[in-house]
Amino acid sequence: MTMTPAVKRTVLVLFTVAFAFYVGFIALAVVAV
Amino acid sequence: MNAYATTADDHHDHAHHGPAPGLMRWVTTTNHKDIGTLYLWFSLIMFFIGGFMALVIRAELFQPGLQVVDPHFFNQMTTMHALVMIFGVVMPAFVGLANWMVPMMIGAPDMALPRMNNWSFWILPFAFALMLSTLFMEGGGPSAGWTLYPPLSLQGGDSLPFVIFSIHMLGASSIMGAINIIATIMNLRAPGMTYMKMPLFVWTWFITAYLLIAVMPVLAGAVTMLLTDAFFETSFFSAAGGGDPVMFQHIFWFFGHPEVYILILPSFGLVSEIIPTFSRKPLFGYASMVYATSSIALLSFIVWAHHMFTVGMPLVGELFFMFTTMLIAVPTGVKVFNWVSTMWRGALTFETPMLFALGFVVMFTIGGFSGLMLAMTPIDFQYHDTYFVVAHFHYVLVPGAVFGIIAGVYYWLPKWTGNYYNETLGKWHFWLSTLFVNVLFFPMHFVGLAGMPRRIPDYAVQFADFNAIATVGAFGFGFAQILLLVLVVQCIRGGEKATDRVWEGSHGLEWTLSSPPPYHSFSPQPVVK
Repeated sequence: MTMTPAVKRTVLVLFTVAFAFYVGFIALAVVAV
Repeated sequence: MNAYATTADDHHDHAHHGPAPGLMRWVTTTNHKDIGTLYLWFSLIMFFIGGFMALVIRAELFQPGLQVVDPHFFNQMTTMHALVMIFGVVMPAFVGLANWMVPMMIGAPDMALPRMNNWSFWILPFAFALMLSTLFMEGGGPSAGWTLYPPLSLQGGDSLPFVIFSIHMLGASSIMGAINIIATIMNLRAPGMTYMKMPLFVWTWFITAYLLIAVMPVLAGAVTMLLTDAFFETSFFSAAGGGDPVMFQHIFWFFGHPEVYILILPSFGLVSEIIPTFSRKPLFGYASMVYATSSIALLSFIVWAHHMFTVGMPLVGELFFMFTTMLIAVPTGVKVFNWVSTMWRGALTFETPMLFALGFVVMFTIGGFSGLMLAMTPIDFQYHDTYFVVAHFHYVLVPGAVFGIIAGVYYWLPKWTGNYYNETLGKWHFWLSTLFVNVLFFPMHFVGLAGMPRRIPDYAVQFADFNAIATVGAFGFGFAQILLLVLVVQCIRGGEKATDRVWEGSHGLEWTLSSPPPYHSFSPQPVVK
């Protein structure tokens, strides 16, 4: 299987979203306390 | 949905290599069918490990007093049983089914990211080896419940960092698996396979994968903060340092409630595949099923605090979470209505997959109704932390999620192996499982309503009779699952040869392939009319 630009784009977006949720919730907790 | 034209002859490999010989096939494989098989076997092994822990719990609760294990070990068993069953059984089983079936159902040659697929799987055995090894450490394994609420979870033995690392690994595996499934569905569908032509199992997994990407990082964030509280002098969840232990509960359940739907949506998809096949009718209300699944997924993000009504929220918060939770009954009701309507005036037959699917519809609905009861704030004050809650979520997860998985396994087993399973033994498996699962979990409603708390190794004598009955059910259910193992092994070793279509009423791309399907299927891709 070759990784087409569309697959690369999908993976990049989804990993970014996942990472944003991780960092975002810790940041939220830092602000909350 | 059944107008397919296959352009490729998929009954032999097109100059592709076959699997590598020996054990290395399973270590280095990037083939979606091999990885699906690995996930499913892993899940089955963990099912017996988690089941053994459940039997330890039930053995202790057979009668009042302390007989079998000491209370600390009992708490480790309740914690580990949940972690194993959620992260080691139901989730890997769904990923295994997705690996096997999603590419075949959408006409793709493989998953979009085959090497990452291999990595997603092989993280799991190491993560669980790490987690289970804590049971043999000084101080034992985690014992604060699978929810890991601080401050209790911070007061245990040395197991905490091991469990946190293990959860991080499981999260990474799930996120990679989810990204792989979304990338596959979005990019590798066969020409003509539009979104609204996708089989329901593919749709439910598509939505589940988005849930996973949104919430697994939140769990990772919550346990990271637990770790820093325990070892790096932070006070996220310590009131003494200016933090708030209730904040952990909010963050955990922001993950935890969508997680509940991660554990059930793919089973909805499985049942939506199976009921039309054995009713010999198309699924009633396909589009409404897709919208109902999406609605359930969206609502799952705004109901989390119904798990913590008793922490002392403002009234407006309790009302908000009560009403949003009750709202979920609407799309769920649409689904149950559609399954029943699919069967209405159908030419029904009751092979084992259909029996498990029907068992799912009836018993999942029982779990749904008790969920609705728990959604009502004033009533939850009475039920909170009692066995009524245990009865509720076990009805949703065992004759719900697990029955859905078992139905899916029986449904596709002849396709995977090329052999029919033993139908008589399959029916025995269904009836014994159904009988004992109710003997096991139904009495828990009664002891819960009477006030028996959960997560305790001993109880007041008035709960003795129902607990004894539940334990009999537990051992009966546990031993009945040996039939599943026997059936699967028998089916792999031989039996009556399955046709390509396997079931008279089956429709979809996976049934256009041979039974068993070639190692590399759908290359070139079929065209869907």
